[in-house]
Order: sequence, then structure tokens, then C-alpha cells
Amino acid sequence: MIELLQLRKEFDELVAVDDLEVTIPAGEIYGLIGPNGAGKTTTIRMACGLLTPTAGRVRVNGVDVHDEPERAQQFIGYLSDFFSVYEDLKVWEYLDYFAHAYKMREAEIPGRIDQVIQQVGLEVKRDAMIQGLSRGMKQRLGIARAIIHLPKVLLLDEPASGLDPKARLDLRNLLRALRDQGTTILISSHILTELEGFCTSIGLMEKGRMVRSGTLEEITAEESKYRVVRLAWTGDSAAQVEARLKALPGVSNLMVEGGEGVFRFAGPEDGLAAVLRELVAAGIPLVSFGEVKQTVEDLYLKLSRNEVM
Amino acid sequence: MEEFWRNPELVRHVRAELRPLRALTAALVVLVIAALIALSCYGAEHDNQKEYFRLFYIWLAWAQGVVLALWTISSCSQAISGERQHKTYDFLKTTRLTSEEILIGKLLGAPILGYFTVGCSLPISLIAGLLGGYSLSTLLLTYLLIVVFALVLGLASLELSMLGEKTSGGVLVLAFLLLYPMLMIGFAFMESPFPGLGAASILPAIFGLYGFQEYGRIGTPLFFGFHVSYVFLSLFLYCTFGAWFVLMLRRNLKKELEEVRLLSRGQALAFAAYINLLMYAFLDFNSKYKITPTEVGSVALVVNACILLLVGLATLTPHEQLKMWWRRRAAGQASYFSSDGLPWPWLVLTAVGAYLFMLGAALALHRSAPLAQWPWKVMALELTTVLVYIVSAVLFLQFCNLTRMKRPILKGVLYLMLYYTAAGIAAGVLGMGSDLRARQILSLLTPFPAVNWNELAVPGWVYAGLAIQVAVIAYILSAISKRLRRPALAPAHGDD
Repeated sequence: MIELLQLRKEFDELVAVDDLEVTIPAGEIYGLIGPNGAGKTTTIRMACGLLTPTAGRVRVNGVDVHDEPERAQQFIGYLSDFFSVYEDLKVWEYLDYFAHAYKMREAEIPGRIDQVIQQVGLEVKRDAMIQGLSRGMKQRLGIARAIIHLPKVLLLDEPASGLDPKARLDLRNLLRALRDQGTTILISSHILTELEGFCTSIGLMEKGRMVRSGTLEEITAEESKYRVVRLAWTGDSAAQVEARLKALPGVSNLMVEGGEGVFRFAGPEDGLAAVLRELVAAGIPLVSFGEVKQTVEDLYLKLSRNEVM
Repeated sequence: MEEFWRNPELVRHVRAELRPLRALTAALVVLVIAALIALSCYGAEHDNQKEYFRLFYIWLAWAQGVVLALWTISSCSQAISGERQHKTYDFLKTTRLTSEEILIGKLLGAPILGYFTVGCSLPISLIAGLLGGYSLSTLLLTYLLIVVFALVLGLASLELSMLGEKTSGGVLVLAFLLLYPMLMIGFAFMESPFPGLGAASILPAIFGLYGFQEYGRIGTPLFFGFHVSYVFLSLFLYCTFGAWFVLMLRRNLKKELEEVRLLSRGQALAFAAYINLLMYAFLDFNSKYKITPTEVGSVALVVNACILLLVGLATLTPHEQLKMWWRRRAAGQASYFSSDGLPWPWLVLTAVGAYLFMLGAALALHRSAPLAQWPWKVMALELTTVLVYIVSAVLFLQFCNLTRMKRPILKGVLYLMLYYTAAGIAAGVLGMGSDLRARQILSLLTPFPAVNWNELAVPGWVYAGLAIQVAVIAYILSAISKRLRRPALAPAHGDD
């Protein structure tokens, strides 16, 4: 569990993070989304204890990160966007170093090293020098380092940068597997598609503030004042569809083209069901009828245009 | 003890630096160099076997000392800044390693190849030394001094590295260039009323051990009224200075660069007291280099001016901490003299402490120099003058630290240097042909004439200068409050 309580960071006269209040329950993957300069990196660096907040607190698993840093670090795995590794070590030596630095039990370390090496797919490079690894492999090694001590919380700042599509997919699967094991993950990105598919909750940040936070459904529902409905039919029923729909309450912005149409509906789900019943009762040969879910991307784009502030 | 050697940071360096092939190569190179030294010594001295081994031992021990010192400086000065530059330091800071563990790992680990090469040649030099007729205790004391000296250099280099964002070859070259004068300055102190200060260099202690007299006879300097050896004094100075470095590193190793503050306010006061105590502990009124209490006062003033500057620099409050203190103070939750507040009250305390130390020294040394001979009034005037100028300079640096300048402290120091250079030029130009005019201008614009109140200072002009500085201090304080009062703004788009 991660708690960011009234978290604030000021640099000179600028507020990089403005009284952030977020609680991420155990086992969640929380995506922090926002454009460059939104305060994502600053938030993650405060959450892992690298930056001291100007005000507010960060608690990980109930432990205050700034009051008891060494105790809190046992629960935290951290990976930043642009990082480097100790090039003069072998892959297993690098992981062994961090396993010891996290004060894992001596007997558990060799087994755990093999396990994470397997998890990130670096088995054949176990005894290779790090300086000979490709960038993608080093990124995977970085992820292995972040999870070597079985952290309860993972803080990942743009972890997919530098990874090829296959490695991104592997990363998603790895994060899902970690979530299934109960790990809480806070992951930041300004690339929505990286997060949309597997985050259980997201937070949209802009100018240091959290403008929306919650599950994808909650956020899009909160944002939507109307539903966008798409429908399709067979035969030449366009005029009939148009006439019927325009007569119904809550329907607006109807557009019909060929055997397809799209309209906005302002009303509850029951109302939408009533619209469907009406069309069917009118004998229109419908082949599809459904709500078009508004994506987070739509919201993100609105955010970038300052439409949600 | 096993835990100590299993320090992960140390193990990492051992693994990276001492891979079998590299270690074997280093050992072979050491053997070859030792053989070459042995051959060259044989060329110089081959009639007397004992003298030959002495010569061989001395050359080898010199080489070991130089290699160890330079290796330690070189590797430790890059140990932290290098990690910052390569973006690996954040991961080290987010582990459960404590500052002490990181410090030990870096101090012993970063120069591990240097220690290894010296270790490889150690049996050869010990055997040569014994065959040369030196006692085992002499040899062990020599190596103890060399190792402790190298460790202190390592700590100082780590300190510099902690304050750097990236590695700099310039710092390294500067350190190498300073090493020689730092070693030789010990002999200059030996010929002064503070002979014990010679122990700051390792050479008087080593020369004393072997009876070398190249730079004069190595005696036993006075320390708190007792005659002690340079070996003891060097070890004492290195251990105590090393302890200060450890304290500063321990406080700051896991902090972000912007949040580093070398010493707390209390520790800064203790440091000032430590230096004053050392100075008077080494004072020898009965040495052949006579000194009067007035001259002691001048020395104390110069030393305390340096201490005040150092204390001021070491206790500058980082921007954000100062801002938080300001807000807490406005809310009535913090006092003006809080440890996160402005540094000037602590500078005043340091100056008062310096005066009290002189008083204590005068009382302790009243048999050698009667109390009436001490320059009580002049010292108070001199110290007040220096204090006012330093408070003004430190507050100016604190103000610079609140601006958005890059490297604000460095730029602030440069501005101050510019001011004093301009004041010097003004005194030179306007005082051409008139010594009094030059002294008047210097007394008005700088604290330097106060160092020698009786001969250089022009009192009326000094007081006028002090009035100007007090006005400057008031102005800087108001500028600082104005800046701290500014509301924080939400950022425009930019980097995270």
C-alpha cells in the first residue's frame, strides 16, 4: 500500500507537486499519466525517499519513507527512466550486490537471483559482463534489480523507455504477474498506450496537481456527460432510423451514413435500453448497437488542451 | 567483523577491480618494479649489505606511500560524483545500506587495487627493512602512519566527490599539485611557535622515526603542555580530522546534492572549538621562535576568520529548508535561532567562542605570558570587524542560494572576490603616493587592516566601514525575507 498524504514539493518558487493526496491499495497497478513537467518523476522520487518533500508525507506499507528510510526501503523497488548499471560486473554479481544491499537473508540470495534472471529472460547472460549487454537487456536487468528483494511496492518511472515491442509486452506480463502476487505498483508514463491496458487505476497529473484519479471506468464515467452510441443495420432503413431516433428524448448529434449511425445519448443505461427496444419494435433490422467507451486517451488529449482543469 | 568484510559496496569493488587476471597482472607489475628498485639500489650501494637493504627499503616504502596516497585521492574523488554522473547513485541510495556502510565500502573499496599493489609489495619491504636493521615497531609505525594518512586523504577526497555532480579532472590535478606543498608545510610549522602543527604533514613523523635531519632536527613538540612525538601527534590529528570528515559524510551521503549541509549548527560550533583548542594546545611560548601575546592574538584572528568563513559556508541553509523555516516561523512554530534558520547567529556565537578560548588560553598560560600582556581590547575590535564583514559575506551567499542562479554559492564567492579585488584596486589607485589614504580606503571597504589594528587600521574609517556593512546586512536580510515571502507558483510546462 502506498499513501501520498498532502505531498508537496517546491523548487525555488515553482510548485512541482501540489498537495497530492493518493492512496493506492495493495495489489493495484496505478498509472501516473501526464505530460512532461506534470510532476510525475518528482512524485515518484519523493515516494522512494530520494527527494525530501516540502510538506506532506509518504507512507509505504505503513512506514514513513522519510522518518524510517532504511526500514521503508525493504518494501520499495525503484526504477527510473534513464539509468545506468555497473558495467564492470557480471549479471549475477550485479543482482547479488543489490540483494545484499537490501539485506536479504544470505541463504535466499542465490535462488532468488536465478529466479529473477529467469523472470526477465536473461538466463543465457547470467555470467556475462554487463558492458556487453544491449540497451534492452540492461533495461531488463534494471527491472530485475528493482524486484530482487521481493518488494511490496514497485515505483517505476517510465520503465518501458528503450524497450522493443516484445520486451514491452514481456514487461506488461511481468508486472501483471507481480500484481497477482500482491505487489502494489506505481508506474508513470506520458505514453498512454503503455499503461491503458493493464493499470487497475490511473491518476492524471497536470502542473503538479492530480486532476483525476480512480479506475478507468470511474474516470471516464465522471468525465462523460453523455454516452456515444454506435449502431448498424441491414437494408435501406437510414431514413427510418433517423426519424425514430430524433423523436426520442436524450438523443442528439445523430450522424447517419449508409448502414451505420452514431449519436450522443444523455441518460442512464435504462434509457439506452429503452432506445434499443424502440428501434427493434419499429422493425429496424439492427445488426449492432452499443456504447462507444471513451478512452483515457480522449481524456488525456482534453487534459493537454486544458479542458479538464 | 565478518559483516564488515561482507559490506556489499566493498565486495562490489573487490569483484570489479580484482578479477583474477587483473590481480595477477598487478602483482607481477609490482614484483617487476620492486626488482627494478632493488637493482638500482644495488648500483648505488653494494659494498655494505645492511646499507643496501636500508636504501632498498626506503625507496620501496616511499613508492608505496606515494602510490597509496595518489591512488586513494584519485579513486575516492570520483567515487560518488562518478556514480552521480553515471546515474547509478540513486539506486545505491534507495537500498537499505546505511551511510556508514556506503562510506566504509567506498573508502576501502574504491582504491582497492591501490591497497592490493601495496599489499603485494609489503612482505618485500618489511623483509628489506628488517635486514636493513630497522626494528619491527619502526616499520609497523611507518605503515600505520602511511595507511592512516591515505585513509584521511581518501575521506577528504570522498567529501569533495560528495559535493560534485560529475567527475572533474581539474580537481584531481589540483589535489596532486597541492599534495607536495601540503607535505612540505609541516617543516615550516616545525620552525614556528606552533611546532606541533608540523604533524599535519606525515613527513616530520616519518623523518623523526628514522632520524633523518634533512629539514632540521625533529624534536618533540608541545601539546597541552606536554612534549610528545610527531608520530603520536600525526596519528592524533589524522584520526580527529578523519572523524570530522566521517561526520560530514555520514550526515550527507544519502542526501540529494541540493540538500547537503556539511555540519549542523551545533557541530559547526564544536568544529570551531576544536580548531581553537588545537591552536592553543600547540602554542609554545618557550620555543626558540619567540612570540608575544599580541602576535598570538593576530594568529588567532586569522585562524578564526578562516573558521568563521568555513562555518558560514558549512551551515548555509538550503533554499527549501530556509523557506520551510520561514513559514514555520511565521506560524509561530520555529524560533529565529532554529537550526534551519539563517546562519548569522551561529557566526556570532563562534566569534564569542573564539574570544573565550583566547581568554582560557591566557589563563592557562599566564606563567609564560601575564594576562596584562594579552591584547584584550584590540582583539575584541579586530574580531568584531572580521565578524561583521563575514556575516555580511555569508548572508550574501545565503541570498545567492535563494536565487535561480546555477551554482549560486560559487557565483556568490566570485562576486565577493570581485568586490574585494575592486576595493584593493581602488585603494591602490586613490592611495597612490599616500600610504594613509590607501589604509583609509582599505579600512572603509575591507576588514584586512583590522588584522593588524595597531599598524594598519585607521579607526574612524574602520567604524565607518562597519556602519556601511551593518547597513548592507540589514539590506540583505530584508532582501532574503522578501524572497522567502514570495508565494510559490504552479509550474509552466517543462521537465518533470
